[in-house]
Amino acid sequence: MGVRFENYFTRLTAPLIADMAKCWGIDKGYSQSQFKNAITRALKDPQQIQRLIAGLQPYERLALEIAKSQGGQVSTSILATTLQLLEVEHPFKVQYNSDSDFAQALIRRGIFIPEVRSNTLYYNPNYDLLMSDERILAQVGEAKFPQILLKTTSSPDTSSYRPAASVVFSILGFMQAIADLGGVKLTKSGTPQVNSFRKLMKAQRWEETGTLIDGFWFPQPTEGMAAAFNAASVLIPNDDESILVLANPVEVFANRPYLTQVGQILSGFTVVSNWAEWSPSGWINVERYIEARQTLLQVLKLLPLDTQDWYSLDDLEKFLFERIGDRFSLVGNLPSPLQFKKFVDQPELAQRWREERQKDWQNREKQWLRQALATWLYLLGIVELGLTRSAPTLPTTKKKSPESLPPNQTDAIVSFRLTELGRALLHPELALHLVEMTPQPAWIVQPNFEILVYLDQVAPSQIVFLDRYAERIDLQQHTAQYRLTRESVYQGLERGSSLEEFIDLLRTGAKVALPQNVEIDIRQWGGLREQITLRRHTQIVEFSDSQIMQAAMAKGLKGKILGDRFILLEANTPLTDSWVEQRINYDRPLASCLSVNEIGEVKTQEVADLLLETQLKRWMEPRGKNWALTQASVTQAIRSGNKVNDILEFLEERLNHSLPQLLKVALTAWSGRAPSVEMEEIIVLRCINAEVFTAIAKSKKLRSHFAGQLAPDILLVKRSQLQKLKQDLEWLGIPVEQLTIQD
Amino acid sequence: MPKYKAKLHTGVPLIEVATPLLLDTLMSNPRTAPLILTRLDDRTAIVAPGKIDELLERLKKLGQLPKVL
Repeated sequence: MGVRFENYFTRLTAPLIADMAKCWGIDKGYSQSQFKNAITRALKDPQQIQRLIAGLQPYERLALEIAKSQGGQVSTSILATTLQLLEVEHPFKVQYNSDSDFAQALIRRGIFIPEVRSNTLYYNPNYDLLMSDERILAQVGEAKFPQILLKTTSSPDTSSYRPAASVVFSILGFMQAIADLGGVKLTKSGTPQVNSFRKLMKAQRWEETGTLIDGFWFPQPTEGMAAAFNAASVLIPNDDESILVLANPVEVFANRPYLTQVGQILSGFTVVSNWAEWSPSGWINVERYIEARQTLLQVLKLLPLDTQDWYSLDDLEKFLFERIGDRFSLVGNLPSPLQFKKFVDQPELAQRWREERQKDWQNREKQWLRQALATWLYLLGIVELGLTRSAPTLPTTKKKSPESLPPNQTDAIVSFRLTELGRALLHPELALHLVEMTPQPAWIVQPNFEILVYLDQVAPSQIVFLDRYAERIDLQQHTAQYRLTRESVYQGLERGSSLEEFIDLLRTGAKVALPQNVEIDIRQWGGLREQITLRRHTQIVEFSDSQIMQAAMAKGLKGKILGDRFILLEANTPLTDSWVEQRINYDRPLASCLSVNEIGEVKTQEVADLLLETQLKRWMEPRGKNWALTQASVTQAIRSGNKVNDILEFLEERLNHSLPQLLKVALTAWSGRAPSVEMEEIIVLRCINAEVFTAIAKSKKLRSHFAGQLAPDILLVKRSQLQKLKQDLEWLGIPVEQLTIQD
Repeated sequence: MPKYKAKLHTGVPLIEVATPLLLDTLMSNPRTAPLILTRLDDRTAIVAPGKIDELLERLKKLGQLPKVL
């Protein structure tokens, strides 16, 4: 839905509305509501809009064109940077706080309104983001920016680029890995779970800190790719926002044209907020990084198209510094010094400021620029990178690649040019034709079960096919290697195709016949899959006898007969309700129908489910109509492979009361995990005369002879103190007799 | 109209095998037997509810590649 100004009037200040109205020919002397009505009326009249546009300054018209190219909304900062990049003059270029002034000037011209934070009830304009009315934008032409004529450079020693098929190969591989994991789980705060990222990283054979793509360092690829896919809405939260899932199945995405696939991911990369190509400190100013990416894309878009010339990285960096270096920085936009009088009066001060700024730029923005070319712009096949054999000694703080990986070539980048894919992506208006692969022989299956895939020949649907049935083991610039394993083929077949379909597709995609040993083994694996079938949820009808079952089948009940009185219903077979006298759902807890006492005697109530009797027989001995848990029956069940937890879980589910603690101890002990208990004979002193007992128990002299008090009239005597206690009692004149405690 | 009164068991997890011998083997193997409960015929048995995935993993460790439906 496009923006219509009249829906936002209530959140604009009176002076702003008055200024807007002035542009539409309504001057002073009117009320606020008259201003609003007048603007609303004017916006319904295309001719009035055309008159307004005709009276705009070039920078104002360009601002509208840029907003139109971005869907009606534009960041003020990006707008100002773009105008400066294109050397379009505007009166706010050198003023302090110029972006805010610039935004308000455009609003007063009646062509923009500030984005208003919708969660607040009070006036809270956000001059960082501007929106224009859809009816104004409808009268604005497409933006026609001048070409950027960078100095060209000589061809590099070597170069590297990713063909469209390789790019699609990476995109689909990442999507398939997400699909295989069932999505990326989110924490309660909505960020991806670390463990989920680790699994994804492992599936992609990436390292946590980064990976090399054709020798170029790509930092934190899991985070970067997931963020870009999410920003591009390829990866979206599920209903309860607990997991990021693919918006469309991989095979649906793969069937789209290359440009649609890559273009979608490119749009995601330009706005990712939780990943950066490079950062000097680990902290990133999200808005500035997004602005940097969009500005760089704008420059690439404005390069001449009718040439295969190379451009040097140094020239690009210098060009950008000259055009936007005095306002843009990755750490935050700079207040332009040109507004200060001292800089005007003392040009040497301005020169010194600029030199300092250039030093910073070399250490920061230039490093980012190199990494931007080497990461998403290279990964997505937009640029071809020129390399020198002798890497320049540029300062870098980039993390080094692990020793196990080939050398990092990022520092060897000296030049770049747009690829065919890059031109087509950045200039959709030219409708450049890209060769899209259709399924054809594109791989060779080797006797060691590895598949060598030629990326310039393989169709996206074939990549999806290979990802389903084989493991990716390597990716080079023009080839990829997969390996067929028992598990990978099994997982592929489990996704719902037949063995014959799989072998047929593998064969038609192969440039030479399948090795005999490979086909034999694949058929063996497929054959194994026919040996056992597990069905998660089935419906079974149980009849009281075979005759009734046969009669029901004669009346049209369809299914597979099991034994002499069960029918396994075909999936989604409705059953006439009048036939069903009882339903038992095994997805829910089954009836609690047992009672048991401390010594394991079990009583049962009649139940209808098909599991109870088996479980009773497995763990218990029959006792007439009832059952008993005994040491022998439990030991026998344990020997057959059952675990004590199985019986405890079974009893917990089926008992209609809690399990007696003593029986739990017995079951655990019978299973071979007897608890440790110690027994000992003890000596006690008993005295039924309370006064005497208290005198003895509290005596400082006698206290050390006792270990504790067991009852109001009984003290536990320390065996080692027995003789001494007897002596002390004799001294007290108390004859000691053998004590017998009676019940 | 004749009466075909019957019990309907829904959500029943099942294992079906190609030969009776294979089911005999699985029901006597200590690794799989605890998870396979009531035998309905010589090639079909009910799996302990909620234990299909555990049985699948154990079968794969025994070299089997079960089809899961």
